[in-house]
Amino acid sequence: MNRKMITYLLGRVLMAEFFLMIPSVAVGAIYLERATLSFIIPMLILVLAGLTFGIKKPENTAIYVREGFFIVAAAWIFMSLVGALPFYISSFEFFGGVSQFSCIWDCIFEIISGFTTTGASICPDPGILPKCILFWRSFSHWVGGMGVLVFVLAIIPMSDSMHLMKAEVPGPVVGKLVPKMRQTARILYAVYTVMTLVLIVFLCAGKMPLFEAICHSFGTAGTGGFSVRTEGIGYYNSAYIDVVLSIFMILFGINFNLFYLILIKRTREALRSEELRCYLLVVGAATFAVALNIYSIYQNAGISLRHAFFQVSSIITTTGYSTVDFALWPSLSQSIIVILMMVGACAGSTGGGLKVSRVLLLLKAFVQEMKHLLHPRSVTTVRLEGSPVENSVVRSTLAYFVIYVFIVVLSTLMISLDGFDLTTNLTAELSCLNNIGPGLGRVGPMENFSGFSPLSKVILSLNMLLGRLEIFPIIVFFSPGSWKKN
Amino acid sequence: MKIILVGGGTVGVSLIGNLLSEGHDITVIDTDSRVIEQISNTYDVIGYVGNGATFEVLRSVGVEDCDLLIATADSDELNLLCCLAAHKLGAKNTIARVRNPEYAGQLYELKDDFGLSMTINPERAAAQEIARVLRFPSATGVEIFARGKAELVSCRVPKDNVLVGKKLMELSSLGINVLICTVERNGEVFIPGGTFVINEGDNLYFTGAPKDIVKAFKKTGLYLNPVKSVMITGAGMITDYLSEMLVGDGFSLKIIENDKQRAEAMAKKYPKAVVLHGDCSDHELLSEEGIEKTDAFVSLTGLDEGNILSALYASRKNVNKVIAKVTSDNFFSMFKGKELETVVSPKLVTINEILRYVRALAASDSAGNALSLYKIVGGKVEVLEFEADGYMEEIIEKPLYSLGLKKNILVACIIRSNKVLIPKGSDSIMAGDRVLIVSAAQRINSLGDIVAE
Repeated sequence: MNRKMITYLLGRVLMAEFFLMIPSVAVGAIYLERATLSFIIPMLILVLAGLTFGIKKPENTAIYVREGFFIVAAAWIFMSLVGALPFYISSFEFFGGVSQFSCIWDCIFEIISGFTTTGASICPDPGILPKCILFWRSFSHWVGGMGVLVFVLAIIPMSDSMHLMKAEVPGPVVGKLVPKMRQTARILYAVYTVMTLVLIVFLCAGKMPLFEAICHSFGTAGTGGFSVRTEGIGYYNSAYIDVVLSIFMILFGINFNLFYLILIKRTREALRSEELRCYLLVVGAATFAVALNIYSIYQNAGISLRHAFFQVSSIITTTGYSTVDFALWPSLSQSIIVILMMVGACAGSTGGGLKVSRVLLLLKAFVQEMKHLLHPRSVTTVRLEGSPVENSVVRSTLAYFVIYVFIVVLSTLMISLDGFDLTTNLTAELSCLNNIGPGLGRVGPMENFSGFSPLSKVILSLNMLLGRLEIFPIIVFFSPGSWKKN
Repeated sequence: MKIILVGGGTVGVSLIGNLLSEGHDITVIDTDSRVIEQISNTYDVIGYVGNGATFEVLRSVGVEDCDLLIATADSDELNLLCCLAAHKLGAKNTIARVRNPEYAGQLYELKDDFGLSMTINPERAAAQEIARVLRFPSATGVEIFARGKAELVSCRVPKDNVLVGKKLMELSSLGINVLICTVERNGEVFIPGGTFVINEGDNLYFTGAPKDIVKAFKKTGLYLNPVKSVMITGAGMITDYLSEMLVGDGFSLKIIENDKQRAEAMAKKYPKAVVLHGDCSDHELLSEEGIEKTDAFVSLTGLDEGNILSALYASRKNVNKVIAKVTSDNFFSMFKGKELETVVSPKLVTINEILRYVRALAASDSAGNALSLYKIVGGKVEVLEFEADGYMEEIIEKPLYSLGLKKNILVACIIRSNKVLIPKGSDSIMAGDRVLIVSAAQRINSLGDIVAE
């Protein structure tokens, strides 16, 4: 392990977080809020850590797979620990005292939920939080969506940074857009920023106040789901806002490489993507089925379709916004929503879940295995996007799925200690591991996670990190081999 | 620049490392997915699995707007086809590695048809390098400028040489018409002025016309023991090319080969050379054939270990110039410069040739209008070739001493109507001159950059 390079990059990440806190402070300054002062201590910590470790580049900059995983996991954990401080400090009397967080674990849960773009909240009533805290909460979605390391890579030049990118960008296979990693990172962030700005304009056009439009755009872009309103998107009760958000959620759930292909005028190639077609097909089919199913409640085809479309796109992209309480919908719709939770968005997007391409690969591997069973001597390959997939990729996808199921089972078991019903426990776990936000039962769209014990909150926080970083980096971080000297 | 590499073999991989450090955008194509995975995990490049000679693959890596395609796959035919296809699709420049000597002759005529900017033959390039060293045994390196009109030759100053303790301004009294443009002393680089004093062990870089350099070397006693007789072990492709180059120049050659048929073929092809059939590592045979009396010993068999050992044996027998061919990188760094003075690796020669081409291309590309660019002293010093035009009023037709050049920049050579001029302070640059600039400071993009603001 190249310790010097690890501390250097961590220093860089913390330095980047310092700059990322500045917009929140600016918001606090505009609204003249006392809570703005709660950013002082975390920013001091960040700038000190950044200056101590992130200035001098070590001579040996070589990092390998293990370092890549370790750095990404450590960066996310440290960032979350410092990022939670503004929430914690702002809850003291001196800084205004309006807080929804009862202990430091709540704050950590909240910020991890932000960075991992989960959107599961502890707050029963976010509407009364200070604006700068609300902004930081939503901004963490935007930062976490594309990835902090990708952000850092866009700034500092590094030759062997593929391992970092691989560990942070979701999906079974990570592709670069252009040969230079730095250039790739910049293109990704440029596409991301422009799309976010467009969404802000669209939301403002729908008469949403600017501050709320910005926060909700961050939540949509990162496929996070924190709302500044206690009632969520349902507060606005506007068909226009619902439709705009639905469409943009679906866009942010698409592989960003495809947007780049469209940018360089290879639109046809982008539209031919198997994953994209499959993703849109699932969205269409699920919307149709849910709309039919909830027609009995709303008695209006248009309204049923609007709610079904919004909820399906919100869940499959793992955003987690809600306009209505789908916990009250018929059980068929609920089952569809739970299945969509696991499927998730496309690889290379800001969404979470298993990813459409992984599900496709799993299904195809299953079909291949069946063929092999019937024709033991047959030689078959799994094909995705028109080209054969390496056996190693299929194998690692299967392994990923096994570990995924194992984590769901184990975590659900441990959360059950709190004594809630199975629906609550299972959907809370799935919601956190897939970075969605709301679940069913006591963690439904109109509820929150404050009822859980601190132990469960820690487990769920870890689950969010496992889900966002796709399991392996976190496992590497906590494996004893990574901490041994030499 | 946007560069596409076809073939991820050893040459390809070394090229990637070098090209990346010079800031190029690289795409690598290979048919083996394991090779591509390995490369794209270690280097900041895009890997692509497929056959680089097909339109489909070339189009999907964006060949139409690439600046250079380098084909170094195993097969000559594939490399040529690759360049042909890339040229057809709009690649600006292409380089193919072609090693079969049977194609060598016709390639020159086919160059335009294939759309080739350059072909590289590793064995031939290695033979050229060896021939250069044999012709100029005391030089540690030779570079050619202005289509051979001017050369840059480096040489270490031996003990008790006339030059030791002399100031550079005193050299003209020796009747030398060359310029010492750079001096390397204990790893430090100097662009010397007239008062610079030469020490023993300095590595001097001379520029001038090739004939003048040889004359200067002879006058100063740097031209030690010219090579006349050469003993070569192994009769592979390099030996073939090398013999062709040396026989014509009046060297007496002795070639030892342990394969009877191969030895006979060589004997038929080069009647002037003495070809022996025997074991190359047999010391008795080597002594019998007069290894002590030969001027130079070159080991060119297919075995690195054998080459190193017989070269070491030759150095112990006090052969003046010993050269060993080594293919493996590990052996190269292990022996070069220590026990063995000159080690030649066909792979490294290939890479250097390609890099030189890429640098010249990049130099002409990056706003600068240098005709060629070379890096010497491990890249610390750049030598650039410019053509002066009439618009550079601040420079032309003014004596050099009045120009006020930037620090660490030197006008090393002026080539005017095919004559090499070693500039003095009173000389001036005229429109139409070709000028060699040596710079240890910063990148010079045009001739106008040499003057301090």
